[in-house]
Amino acid sequence: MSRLLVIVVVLSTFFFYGAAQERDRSKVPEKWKWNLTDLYPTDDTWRQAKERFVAEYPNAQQFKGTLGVSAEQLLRCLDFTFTLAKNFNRLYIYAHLHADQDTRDSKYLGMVQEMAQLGADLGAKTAYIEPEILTIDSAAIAGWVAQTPGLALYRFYLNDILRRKAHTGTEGEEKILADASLMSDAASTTYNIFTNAEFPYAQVQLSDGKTVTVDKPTYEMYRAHTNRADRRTVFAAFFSKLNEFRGTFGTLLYAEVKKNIFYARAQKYQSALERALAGPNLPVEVYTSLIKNVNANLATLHRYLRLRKRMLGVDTLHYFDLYAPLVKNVDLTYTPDEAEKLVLASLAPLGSGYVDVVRKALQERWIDLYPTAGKRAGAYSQGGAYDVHPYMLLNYNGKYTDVRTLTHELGHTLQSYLSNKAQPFPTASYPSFTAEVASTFNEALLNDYMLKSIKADDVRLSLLGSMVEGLKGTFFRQAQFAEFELRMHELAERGEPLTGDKLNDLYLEITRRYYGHDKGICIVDEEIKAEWMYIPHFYLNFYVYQYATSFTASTALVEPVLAGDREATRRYLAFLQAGGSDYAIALLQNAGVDMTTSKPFEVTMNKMNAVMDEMERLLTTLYR
Amino acid sequence: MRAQRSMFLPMNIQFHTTSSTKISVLERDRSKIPDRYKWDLTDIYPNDEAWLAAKQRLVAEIPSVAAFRGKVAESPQSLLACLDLTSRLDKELNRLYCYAGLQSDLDTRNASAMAMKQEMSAIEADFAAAVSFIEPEILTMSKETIDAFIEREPGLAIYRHLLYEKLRRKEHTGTEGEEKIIADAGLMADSPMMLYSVLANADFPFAEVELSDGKKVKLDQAAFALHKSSPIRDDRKKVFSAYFGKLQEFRRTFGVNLYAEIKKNLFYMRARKYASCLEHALDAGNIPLPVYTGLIENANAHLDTFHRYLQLRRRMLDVEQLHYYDLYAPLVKDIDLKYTFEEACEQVLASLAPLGEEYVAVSRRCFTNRWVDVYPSEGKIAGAYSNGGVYDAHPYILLNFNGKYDDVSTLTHELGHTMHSYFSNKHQPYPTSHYSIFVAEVASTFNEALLMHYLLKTITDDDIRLSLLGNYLDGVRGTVFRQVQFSEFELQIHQAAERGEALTGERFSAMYDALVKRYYGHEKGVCVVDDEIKVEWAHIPHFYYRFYVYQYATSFTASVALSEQVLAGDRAATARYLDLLASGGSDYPIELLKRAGVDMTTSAPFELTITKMNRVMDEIETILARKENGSGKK
Repeated sequence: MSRLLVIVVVLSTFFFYGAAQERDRSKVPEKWKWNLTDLYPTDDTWRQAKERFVAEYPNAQQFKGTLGVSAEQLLRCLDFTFTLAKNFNRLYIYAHLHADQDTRDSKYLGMVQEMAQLGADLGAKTAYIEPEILTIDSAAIAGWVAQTPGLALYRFYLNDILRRKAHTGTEGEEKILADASLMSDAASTTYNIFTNAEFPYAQVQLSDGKTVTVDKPTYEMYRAHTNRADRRTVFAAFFSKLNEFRGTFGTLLYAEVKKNIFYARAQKYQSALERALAGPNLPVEVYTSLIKNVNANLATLHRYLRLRKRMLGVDTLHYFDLYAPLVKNVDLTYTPDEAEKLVLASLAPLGSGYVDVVRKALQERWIDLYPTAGKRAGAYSQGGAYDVHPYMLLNYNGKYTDVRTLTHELGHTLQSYLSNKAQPFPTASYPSFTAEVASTFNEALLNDYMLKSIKADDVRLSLLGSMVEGLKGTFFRQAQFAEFELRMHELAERGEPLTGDKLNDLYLEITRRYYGHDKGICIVDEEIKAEWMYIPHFYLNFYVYQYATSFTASTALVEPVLAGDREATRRYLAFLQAGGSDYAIALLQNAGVDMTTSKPFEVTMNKMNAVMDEMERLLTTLYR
Repeated sequence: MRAQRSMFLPMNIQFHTTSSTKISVLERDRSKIPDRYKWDLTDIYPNDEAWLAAKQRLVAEIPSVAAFRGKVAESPQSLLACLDLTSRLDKELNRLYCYAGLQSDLDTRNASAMAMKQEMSAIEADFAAAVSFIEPEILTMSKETIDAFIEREPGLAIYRHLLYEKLRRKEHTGTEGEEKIIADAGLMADSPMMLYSVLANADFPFAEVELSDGKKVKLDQAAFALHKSSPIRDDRKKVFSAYFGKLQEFRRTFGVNLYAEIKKNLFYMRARKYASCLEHALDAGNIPLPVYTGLIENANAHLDTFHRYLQLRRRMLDVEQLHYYDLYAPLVKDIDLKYTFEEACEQVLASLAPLGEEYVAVSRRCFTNRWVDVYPSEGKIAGAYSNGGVYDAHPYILLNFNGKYDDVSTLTHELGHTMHSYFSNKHQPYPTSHYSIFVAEVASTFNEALLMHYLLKTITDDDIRLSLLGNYLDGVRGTVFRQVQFSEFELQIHQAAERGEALTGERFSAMYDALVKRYYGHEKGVCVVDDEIKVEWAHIPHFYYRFYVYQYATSFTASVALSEQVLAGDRAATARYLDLLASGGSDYPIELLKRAGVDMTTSAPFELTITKMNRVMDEIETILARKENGSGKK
């Protein structure tokens, strides 16, 4: 796959604490619906722009065979193809945002698929570039970059190609690889359509006699319900229904894994993991030591689970108790305006420049706030339209977690915005390893602001609880997913086929270990084995571990900022503007955190224990 | 069926699911079915442990192929040793694959069998990658060198056709590095088909309907196949609308998955440098493009004959307006021919007499030696097929036998495949034993024609004759017109994707709807195609077989041409036909058929089928007129 086209970044956050109450889209105020006309005024203008693109992109081939002729020729080629990539992104994003706004609308789905095909062909037509660059002498390239001002923009891109020389094939091989992208999104596309648009979710009757369809948002709402019997019912219904389709989900996930193995083989990597980490130039140890560290610190997770059991006042903690509110009757709700105020206030430590952009995002319709019929679940920020501005999709339901998701996505948005502004297009998009730093950084600021402004013990307890839950969700849970991902790839790489049943077994085994099932800490009921079917991130090729590593990075980065260290704040803002101008590890080192050490991990564990210390103190006070 | 692969050796395991899914619904408890009606898979491996051991041996042996790297074309001896080794491994791989596949089909819910199958799919990809260097090395040889090698090393003679075939496709073959990537891409190739098969068979939440007798029925594929031919019109109507209504709820998922399948074909087309997916598909069997396009033209030119049949069906059903849901209703009421499996076997054996003693004797062996898995049971895959992929053992037939006339016809159909495999495996060395898919449906539909002929000779009752003749016409509808309509749909969707159009469930439905309405004369009021039918494409597994179904139609017209000669008592024609069955894949299918006496590059076979169809309709009309006069007198 050409590096040129790995540019469309969609960041789904992990917090699907989304809500179920869909609204009539026509009654949602304009302010809270994104304004996609900033991309194209109408579908017709999109279509025209697409036609122009279609007419233009085959010209990418005109440079073929001439890249080594001169620095000027190389520059012309790169300018031309990077502009194509930029235009492609904008076209693609328009279609995909529309499609996500209503997944039932096959018109936009069709447009997304048109773009996907076009993308595959663009990839094929530009596939010659990297192999051809590799035929140019490295020293000659270095000389050209030094002497040709226009090429400086491409320094990082060119060096990165040379770095991966051993994994790049001949022109013919690269072209076949580019064509193979026709098949590469099949599993994830089918998964998304099936689960979001057509899955026959179960219906259950709740204790109040109401019958509900347990789709994703409903499940996510009721799993946090105070009524334990309802939680139990909803968990059982949701996961048993998924389990009825384990054959389908197993086939899909296996297809995804086989795709990753294909690319690893075709690009001559030892394993799918090695390939996934080689792209962003990360050492494999960043992944494996994360899993090792987490397993060595499960005691901290278990401490949290015991605390949760104590606070809920249950005899035995079950998996279906994990999302129940820790403190009863503290059900903070926020109107969007209140959320806006809170978020703006919490971000003050980052300075007025930062806050002004946030205000712009909130006021100029960059956000699609409410759940509406057919809208894609979850939340994300899409910052790929370089010349426009980022967009955010949310499913806001007024809970504290929704406010947190808002500031989380704003973190992504600001990083995209600041990078796009400060960097030329070729180095604008930041590596996904750093992607969750800005988002979780903002969450930490929000938590801190709330704790400073709220005095009531029970509310504080609730907030501290949500912090520690965030840690569980962003750190332990993601590490657990990362381990599952690694294990399933390893099985398939050994030639063992993956079926729904096998994935169920593997998932249950890992989950029970993490939650201390055998020690009686938290009972992971049998039905939980199907939870992997509900996680879309397994279609993102070793993505989720970055939630965990980003979280430890942002925990380490936020402490000096909150302590008022101006230099640290300046470094952090510089990091947000650095985009993809260097490799992730180096970018983070410049910002002040070294991800090749276990230091950030330790800071995170200390913080989690400190939060739990205060919770235990408060509990003692409250129940004295 | 497995996806077309680009391997060194063409391994076509023939899984012929019959297109007119003549299946039934009365499932039995498998443990209570007597052994003689169940497969004896121990002819392949005595037990799963033996399978596992053989699999491990194979996996251990695959790397040994690498020893020939750089040496394939070195000498005649080296070439022979390399081909013998890969051919043997290929044969063993097929054997392993068949065992796993057959077991899994007996109970699709059996996760361990499914895992075995998937494991084989992965091993197959490994094997393909391991042998991928051979083809480029062979391609460095000229035809003269190959001829000289064969002269010096006569053992190479059995590989002659294969080697020539490689040369023919030289321009579509890449460098070693490219071939390896294409081979590795096989990891992704069968995903859409596997997903379809799991979702549509095992996991699909089939609709439930209440029939006019108050019975509630869960409309899975087998139940739909049974009830769509209900004599009660309200039930048919209800069943169609419930079945397709449920598919409609999942049109996006099926749509995105079918699009994935087409994109897979696009990938192979591009990687192999063909101008279109169709050209790529046909080139595998060296079939000229006009065979496909001419078929579609011929069918469209003869839609009037097809409409004559539909009008006749309307008359016989005695309905004011024929609807799509009337297409499977019995033409003659109260003719409910029932056969035990033994009776079915006897009728089939008697009908096959014109093919001579050996043919009949082997067929008898097939029926009595547990080559057939007869009855439907829970979790068993729907439909029927013959699998002749185990070269050293014997073919296997899967049925879902329910004692109807259709089931007898399916039995002789699958037996046709089996005998074709049997004779080819017996007379050909392994490398040329696989017959091409293009001729695959000749032997099967040939047998159907013989059965029909035999029954018409022995039965004089007007109603039964009407029923049989009507059944024949239904067969032509299902095997020729319906398949051509599918072929046209397949061509349209691939062409749209080749133009860069994105395809969704909605788009598939719109294209399908327009096509089916044209074929069935919807606008002319010949047969009303109700709105729900537009999603029928989601019900057809064959769209995952890449330009496969047209061969049902061409095979049928070929077998009409061949069987007419045999039934006319032409001994030379019979001998030529038996030679065809024994010729496997020793030459290109168009050549083999020419030698057997039919030229598929002309429209003559199609026109012969139309003539026969009209002849049958004439006879039906004569009987109908006689009956009407008879009842008029009374």
